Amino acid sequence: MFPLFVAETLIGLSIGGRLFLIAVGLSLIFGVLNVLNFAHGVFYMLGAYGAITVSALLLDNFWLGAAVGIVAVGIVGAIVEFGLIRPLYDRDEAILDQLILTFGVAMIVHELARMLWGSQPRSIPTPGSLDFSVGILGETITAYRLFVIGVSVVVLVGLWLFLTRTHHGHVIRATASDREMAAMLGVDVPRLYTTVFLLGSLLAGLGGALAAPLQAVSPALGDQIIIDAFVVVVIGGLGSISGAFVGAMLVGLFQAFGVQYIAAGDLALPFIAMILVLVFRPRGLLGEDEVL
Amino acid sequence: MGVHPSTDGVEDRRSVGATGGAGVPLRRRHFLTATGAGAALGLAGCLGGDDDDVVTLGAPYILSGFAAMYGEEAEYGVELAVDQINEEGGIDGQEVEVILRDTEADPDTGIRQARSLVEEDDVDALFGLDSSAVGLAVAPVMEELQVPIVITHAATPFITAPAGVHDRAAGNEYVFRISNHLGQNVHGAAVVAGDLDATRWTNVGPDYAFGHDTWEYFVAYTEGMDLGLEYVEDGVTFPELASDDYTPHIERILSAEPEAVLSSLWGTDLVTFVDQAEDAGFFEEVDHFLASVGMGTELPTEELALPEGQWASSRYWPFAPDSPENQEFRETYWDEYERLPTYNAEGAYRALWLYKDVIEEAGTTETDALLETLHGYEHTGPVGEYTISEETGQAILPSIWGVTEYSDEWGTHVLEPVHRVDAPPDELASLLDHTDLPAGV
Amino acid sequence: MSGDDEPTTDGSRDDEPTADRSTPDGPDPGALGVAGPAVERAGHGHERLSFTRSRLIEEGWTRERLLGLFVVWCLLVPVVLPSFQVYLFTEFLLLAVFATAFNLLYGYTGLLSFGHALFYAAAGYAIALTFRELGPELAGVLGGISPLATLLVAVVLGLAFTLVIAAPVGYLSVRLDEIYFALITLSFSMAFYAVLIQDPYGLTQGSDGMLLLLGTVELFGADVALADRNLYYYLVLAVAGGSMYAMWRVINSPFGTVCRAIRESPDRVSALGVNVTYHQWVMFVVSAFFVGIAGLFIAPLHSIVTPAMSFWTTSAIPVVAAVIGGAFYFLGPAVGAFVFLYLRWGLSRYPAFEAHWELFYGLVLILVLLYFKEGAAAGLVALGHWLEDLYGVYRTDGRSAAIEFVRSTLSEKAAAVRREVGRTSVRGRRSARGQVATAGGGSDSTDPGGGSDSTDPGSGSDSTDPTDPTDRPSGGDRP
Repeated sequence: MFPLFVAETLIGLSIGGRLFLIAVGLSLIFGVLNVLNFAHGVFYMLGAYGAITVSALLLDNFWLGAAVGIVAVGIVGAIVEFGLIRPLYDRDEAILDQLILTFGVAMIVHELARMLWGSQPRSIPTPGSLDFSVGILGETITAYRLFVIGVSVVVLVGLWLFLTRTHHGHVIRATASDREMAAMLGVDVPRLYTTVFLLGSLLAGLGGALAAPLQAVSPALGDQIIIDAFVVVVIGGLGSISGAFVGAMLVGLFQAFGVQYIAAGDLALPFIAMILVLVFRPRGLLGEDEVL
Repeated sequence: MGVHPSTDGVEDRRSVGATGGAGVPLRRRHFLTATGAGAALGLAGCLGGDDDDVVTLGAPYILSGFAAMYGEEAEYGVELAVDQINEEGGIDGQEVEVILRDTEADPDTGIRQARSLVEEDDVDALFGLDSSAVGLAVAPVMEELQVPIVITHAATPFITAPAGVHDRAAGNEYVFRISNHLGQNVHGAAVVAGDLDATRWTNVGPDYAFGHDTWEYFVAYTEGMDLGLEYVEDGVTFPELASDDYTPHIERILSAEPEAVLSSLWGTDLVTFVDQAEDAGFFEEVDHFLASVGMGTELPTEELALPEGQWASSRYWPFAPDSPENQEFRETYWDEYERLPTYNAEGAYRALWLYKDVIEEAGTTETDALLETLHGYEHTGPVGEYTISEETGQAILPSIWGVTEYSDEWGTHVLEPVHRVDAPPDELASLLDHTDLPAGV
Repeated sequence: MSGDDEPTTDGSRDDEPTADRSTPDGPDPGALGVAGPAVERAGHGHERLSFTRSRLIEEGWTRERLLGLFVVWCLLVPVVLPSFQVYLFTEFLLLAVFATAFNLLYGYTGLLSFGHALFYAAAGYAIALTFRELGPELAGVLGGISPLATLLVAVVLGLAFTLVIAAPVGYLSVRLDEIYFALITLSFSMAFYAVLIQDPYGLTQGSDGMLLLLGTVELFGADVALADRNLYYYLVLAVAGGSMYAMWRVINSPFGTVCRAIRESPDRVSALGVNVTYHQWVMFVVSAFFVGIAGLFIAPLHSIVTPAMSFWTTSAIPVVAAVIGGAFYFLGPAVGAFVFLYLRWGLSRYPAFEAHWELFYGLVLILVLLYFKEGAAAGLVALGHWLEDLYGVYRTDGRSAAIEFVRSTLSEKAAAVRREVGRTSVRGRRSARGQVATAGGGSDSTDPGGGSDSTDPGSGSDSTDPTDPTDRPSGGDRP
């Protein structure tokens, strides 16, 4: 069964890579802003549509389209944070109010996307430069899927370096652990929040844009993915970026191997895993450390 | 709705009528405008109830959420039929008006909408329904409300199996269906399977009743036909509805090394599956792929189609039969919307024409008369000639299976060759005799 | 999360009657039954207020009387409303119980459950299974009255089943707080959903769900259909009325008072020697119990149970209802349930809106969260006070004064809107606290439900705010 093992591992990692790209922004925003953003899924959906629509306008170049789409999603995220979420930070149950508010945002964005693009699914081909297969230990995987795994690792390492090695990164971590202290030390907390939210939304857009060549895109894309993302970040640890990576890879590998060995009842297992983690390690497998 | 491409066309056609036919059509146009006419399309809201001069029909479809494209397609068919029927003088001289409602693919909402349509808007009859679960929930309610419903999409065989013949059967004399159901459709797959040179079969389908029933019926029919197939259970897989990644399932199927795969995936799920299956070299390793919803809502678009040379089915096919009705419908639809009609558009369109014919024959919209006329009714529409079963209310229709091929003319994949597989009720019943599954027709 | 600033730096308010916060039986809880913050009004219109209040009470407009009027209305519903509206109102009563029961945890204990659909579905499936499995058995034994007997058995079994699930689920859940609590309850309900839809033991008919028809009872020689719309309405009215009263008693019991104190400040209550987790657990089970009642009686109304009953979108119903209606009022979630159901119904009357109803729900949610923190119930209370004042002015100073009163309110309201708009545009780095206090307070609480322009007359001048429920002692922070 060795070849099967290799194949399943590759599949699992590629699913994990995609899950990480949606989960990491969610976790980053939660870690710093303490906001669980229900609209993160529709931002992912917008990223996918952005890549499709913009690349159709721009010489059919997927990469150009994806880049513009991702930036657009980041801006939408920043506007949502500035206009809607910011007024709620100082409420006592801010986190719950914000969860429900972003739920409302998700409903609105979903409907607007339907009006703009219709309900019919869209699909775009794999970008030509990565449209070939690669052999690994006797198994083949498309170069594009390897690329997505690579991007997820680059995002992980990049964020880690940014947060530990740069001044801005230090400020973000300091603010995440003690907002009042950071404010007293002269950090412009509201602006930093908007920046982090923008960064998190960019990551959702990136995940969506890179998913577009892999699957059909419809306005409901965000509805399913947000629940998957919740599972990932809870297992890894809410607010933890490395936790999101571990959670995403575990869930991805589980999905890949589970289909082979578990005939039925697999639908409940992610939620049972989520319950077990919450009961025994509520802060997640790697959730002890702030943000990282 | 994002697009109402018909609005302009409607005005044009009416203008033509007005110049050609002197004053009369013009006055009718004013009448339409005066009643608001649901923004010129007859889809008005609060106008129901005036039995004297309007026939009101209620149409619950999925208009929101992940399956909203079904409702959007149905709406095209409704618009076209309402325009045409009213253009021709309505039903027995009365305007026809359709009220569309969103079932949200949720049984509770479907029941609420059906009740509201009958009790508040006083509709004369209902047609529509996409989701089987909503259909099974609404069926007993129609009996309680004593109003007929003509289902145009929901595909579970159990809704036209009279309650009592099976645990899950929920049919009653108020429920009709004019699209072919899963059992009829899969019978076609079994016939195709008999012609193919493949013995090792497996299945991929969404993880709910529709997916599981499709495989169960396929096994039952092919056993009944004594095809001697080998059902590769190691490859049978039911991915969760709305999955983002099917590669583990594709891997599971491929590692079981089947020769042929039956698929009941639909909509977004089928598109994603096909995308990922192509990447994994699925269609090179599997000899035959039979998609039972292969020519669904994704039919009109170029980039979503199955690869060439795969077997696909639809409940209606715009090029078969090659009848005047079908040709005219296809061409009018193309003029109006610049796309080929999907089965959901045709189903909604045909339901309206069926009601027109039945109401005119019965001479009334009284429920008893409608039921009596509908049972055993012989009708012709774009889909061809068909009879509504006297016993179950299910239309006796051939299933349509064909091989995908790209067509430059239509800018999309079409079925070539296309087969219409007859499915006589007694044959279905005898093939299923060794199981407890109802034929549903 | 604690605020950057001290709670009440906003100039429009000088004092907070915090003492009355947790005394619902204080001076006047208002017609809607204020839960946390008693609506205390001071300053402007003091004498007139006392005149109005006393005159109104003298004339018999007491809370009891208003409640009595509502009960009479409920009893008359099948007589005065068309048949479909009776159905819708039945559904509303059960959704009101669902939302109020949810709010026992959210509004009164501070725990947001995103998984209460679990108990709704558990009870619904219990009644459907009882009718399928035991119905024929009992019919053999009891004959004509067996459907009624089956219903009674189903209610007992359904509630027992709900409790059996709620006790362990609650035990594991209440040890977590805030978002973790929301996520674990979400997981439990979704795991149950997965079991229902995949149906591994062939019990629940998977995605099709199970039909549930109550049947016909032979009583005194007559056939009575239990699901007859009017009969079932009265049954639900009795059940819902009883449930609402029982929940009202629970939150006003010493136990309920402790729970409210926990919501305000778990740490302080804990320091007093109270077992916080235990109280939360018990309230969780009580809340699940009443959700179970709603699930039990909605199943026969819909005549079917499906896995969607346990899906997270069903859990969102009471959340949305509590937010729209106002979680800090006992009747807030019920008001929200009304808005939830009738907004959907209203939108379905307009074909142009029907397909995009979710857009309107999203907009309403956001508007309520941003500008009417206390929800529609607060708006109704403010409207009620305003009407009282208007009546007072009319009785003391006559008609022209009353007209002048209306006019001044409108201009004050317009000024408040202009101020609000101005503030939004120059907000910049300013703390959001003042924003919240103003938006949440009575000065800006209009009536979002009715869309009326009326507002508390004191707006902008002296403080006439209901205590801002969002202002909690800082000890209320959760880790």
